[in-house]
Amino acid sequence: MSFESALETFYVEAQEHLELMDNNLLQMDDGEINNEILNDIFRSAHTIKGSAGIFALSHIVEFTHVVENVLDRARDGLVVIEKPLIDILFRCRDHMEKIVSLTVEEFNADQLTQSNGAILLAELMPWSDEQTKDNAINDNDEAVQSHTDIECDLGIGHWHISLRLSDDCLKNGMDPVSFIRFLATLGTIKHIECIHNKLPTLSIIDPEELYFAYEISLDSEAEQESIENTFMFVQDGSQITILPPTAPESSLWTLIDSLPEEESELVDIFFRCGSLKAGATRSEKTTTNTTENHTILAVQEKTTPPVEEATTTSTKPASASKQIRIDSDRLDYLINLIGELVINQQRIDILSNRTGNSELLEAVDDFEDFTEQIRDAALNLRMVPIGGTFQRFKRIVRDTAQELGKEINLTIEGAETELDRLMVEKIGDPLTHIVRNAIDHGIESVDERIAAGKSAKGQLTLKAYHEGGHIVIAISDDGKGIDKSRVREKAIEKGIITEHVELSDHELFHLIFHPGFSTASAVTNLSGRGVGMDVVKRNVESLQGSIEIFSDQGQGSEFRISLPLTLAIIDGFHVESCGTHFIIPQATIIECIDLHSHLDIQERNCIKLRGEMIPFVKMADVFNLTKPVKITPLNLNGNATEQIKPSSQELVIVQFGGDLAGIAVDKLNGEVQTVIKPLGPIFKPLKGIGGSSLLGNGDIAFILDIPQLIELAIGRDGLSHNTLLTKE
Amino acid sequence: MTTVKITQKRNDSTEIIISGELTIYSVMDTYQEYFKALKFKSLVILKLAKIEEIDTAGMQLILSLVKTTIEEGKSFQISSTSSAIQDFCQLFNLSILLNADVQSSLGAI
Repeated sequence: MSFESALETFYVEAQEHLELMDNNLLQMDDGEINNEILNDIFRSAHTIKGSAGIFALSHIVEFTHVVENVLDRARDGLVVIEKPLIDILFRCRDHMEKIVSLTVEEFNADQLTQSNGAILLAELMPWSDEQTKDNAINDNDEAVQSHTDIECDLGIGHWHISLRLSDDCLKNGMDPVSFIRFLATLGTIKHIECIHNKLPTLSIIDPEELYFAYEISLDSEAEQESIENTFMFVQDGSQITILPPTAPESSLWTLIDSLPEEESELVDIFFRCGSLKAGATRSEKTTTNTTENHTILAVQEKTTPPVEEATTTSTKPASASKQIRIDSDRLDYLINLIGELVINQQRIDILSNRTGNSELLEAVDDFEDFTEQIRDAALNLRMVPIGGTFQRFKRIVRDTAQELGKEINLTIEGAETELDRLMVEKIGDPLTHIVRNAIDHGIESVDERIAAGKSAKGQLTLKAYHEGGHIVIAISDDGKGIDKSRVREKAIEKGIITEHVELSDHELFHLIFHPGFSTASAVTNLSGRGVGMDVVKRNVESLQGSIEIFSDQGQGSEFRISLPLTLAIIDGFHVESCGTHFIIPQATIIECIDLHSHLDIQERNCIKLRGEMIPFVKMADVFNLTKPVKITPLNLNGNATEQIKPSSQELVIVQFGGDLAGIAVDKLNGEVQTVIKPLGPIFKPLKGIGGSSLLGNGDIAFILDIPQLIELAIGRDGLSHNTLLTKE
Repeated sequence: MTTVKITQKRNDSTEIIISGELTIYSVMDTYQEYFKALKFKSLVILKLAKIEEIDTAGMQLILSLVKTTIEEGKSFQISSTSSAIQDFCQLFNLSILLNADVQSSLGAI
């Protein structure tokens, strides 16, 4: 592990611990104060401090040390966890997040952050204990203490640490100096013995190899775990023995036996460390129990386990979890390759079909089967549960509610629902905005709620679930709902609609996505600037998703975001219009019907299907397609009679959200697995197309953006069919 | 950057001046270029005053140099040190190596 990648691991882990702290603090905030949670928070702070120490990130160590100290006192019952302390701890956590993101140099240059830290530390003062703090930072004074003192301390917080680190420790960017410096923050280093007799002469030295060995005595009140954690990154190939103050003297002798150096030399070193008392020898210990040597040996055997335990615990891997971290670029590369594999598989499929060789066809069938499995497995790699994103909202809800003086209970459902990693990253901001809006505008103040006969505590629900090949994320509240008349007034005032326009509820609600629309009479800190909802909509659309609003005045509102499962590969349905290939995402398709067997109503591009009016769009009209002069030679199913028929005789009924619409095409070519290649920026303004793809025969197919086409068919956006090229 | 200047003097001494940073990043190159096949005269004088930064790898190299001269039965002298070296030696209780009577104390190496 190189230094950079170890540092990277530190940042990732610190982030995880900060999230953990956040969740635990939230639990405490809810009144769930117990030792387990307190321990968890302490451990998070402690681990961050510990790892930061290894990387000499002193700004993090210094601040976190005080926080940790307060937490430790709380664990010991010296400090009572109360609301003001929780609030400060929240802010400390945020400050830690801030300083973790800064390098030492950046921190030193950042006056504001420094003063924020100082303020927080000052605020923590009532809960922190000066004595212990001084002890950790100021260790030099005590280091000059004489041997007599050491002997008195023996057994009271006296740790002996023996380090035989792996040879390539230096090469990996781990300098023992940083561990020693960090140990100094855990307590007082009484003595360090740097054993250098392994050091070879110049002719044979490998200058990048570690030859030094260390025996350290440390006075510390810290826990074994925290001392062990210091060496978390160097466990591989190292012999690290940590003897706690409680370890019997015999364990020192066992240690001496296990070390490569001479016993007499080690006894001297251990004496200088203060770990062995003056004159203490193994024989002396044996002679005190004169009678039977065998029993003493047995006693020694019995007392060895604590040492071994200490040794084994420190050599086990830092994390026992089964997870590995992969650079997302590598994963994307793999997905891209699999995309190419899928295309090639289709080509082979087509070519083998032509040969009619049954053995070949069978082999290709198997190949197809496995390709699909590989594809699914690879796509699964990218899937992460949305729970992590949802967890963040606990904090946002808490803070926002506090700021506005509201009481809000957040319920999370379907946290285990998995979503493409990329999407999880990008959905965070739109969700935040909707959640804040719900708290700010949706949920009423306590008085208003009581007056309306509701419980004082508002209810906000974040929910995720699968629906027809999509992931739906719903944000619902039991607030006052959207005031339709106010939306209408505002829209007229802003000139978005004219006074006489009749709008359905659906259309009315969608007005709030209009750029520059905001109903809040007063602009608050959180929302109400009118720059939010249109951005939300655009963000969701950029993920090939859609957003819907349901609202009952006085009862609450629900925002429902539908997102595709993945942005990389989809199951599609291959259709053709005027020789141009299109792919319709399979999940959106309800059925395919023959257009001409249904009545086209009043030239309005509407058909009546089982008593329901369904609008449709003709591909040829939408994209201004004209028929090719001749059938493309690659059009395998091409048959001359079709060209004579009037175009758009097939209708694919698609659904998105609650809306149905038809897409009229010339020909249905069947299912196909499609790798989505994004369109270049030049095609960005082109609505109705979500991407492109290569077909097995080498033709290019356009992937239809069904939500946009449905909107078009219903005419909700007010776009005429010929104005698809919108000016952005 | 590590800069090493080695002068084989007429009075049968070898003067070694190391300056800059002597750390894991440069220690291999420095070793290969200057120390791997270095021949010492009867007296070896080490001047370390201009070492701005040193780590464990750097310290090992210096101590190995000291050890080699002693094993070859040469006289040895550290004529100057820097604060970086002193800090390092203090942390690890290696200061004794830099003392004037270094020769006798190094017998244990």
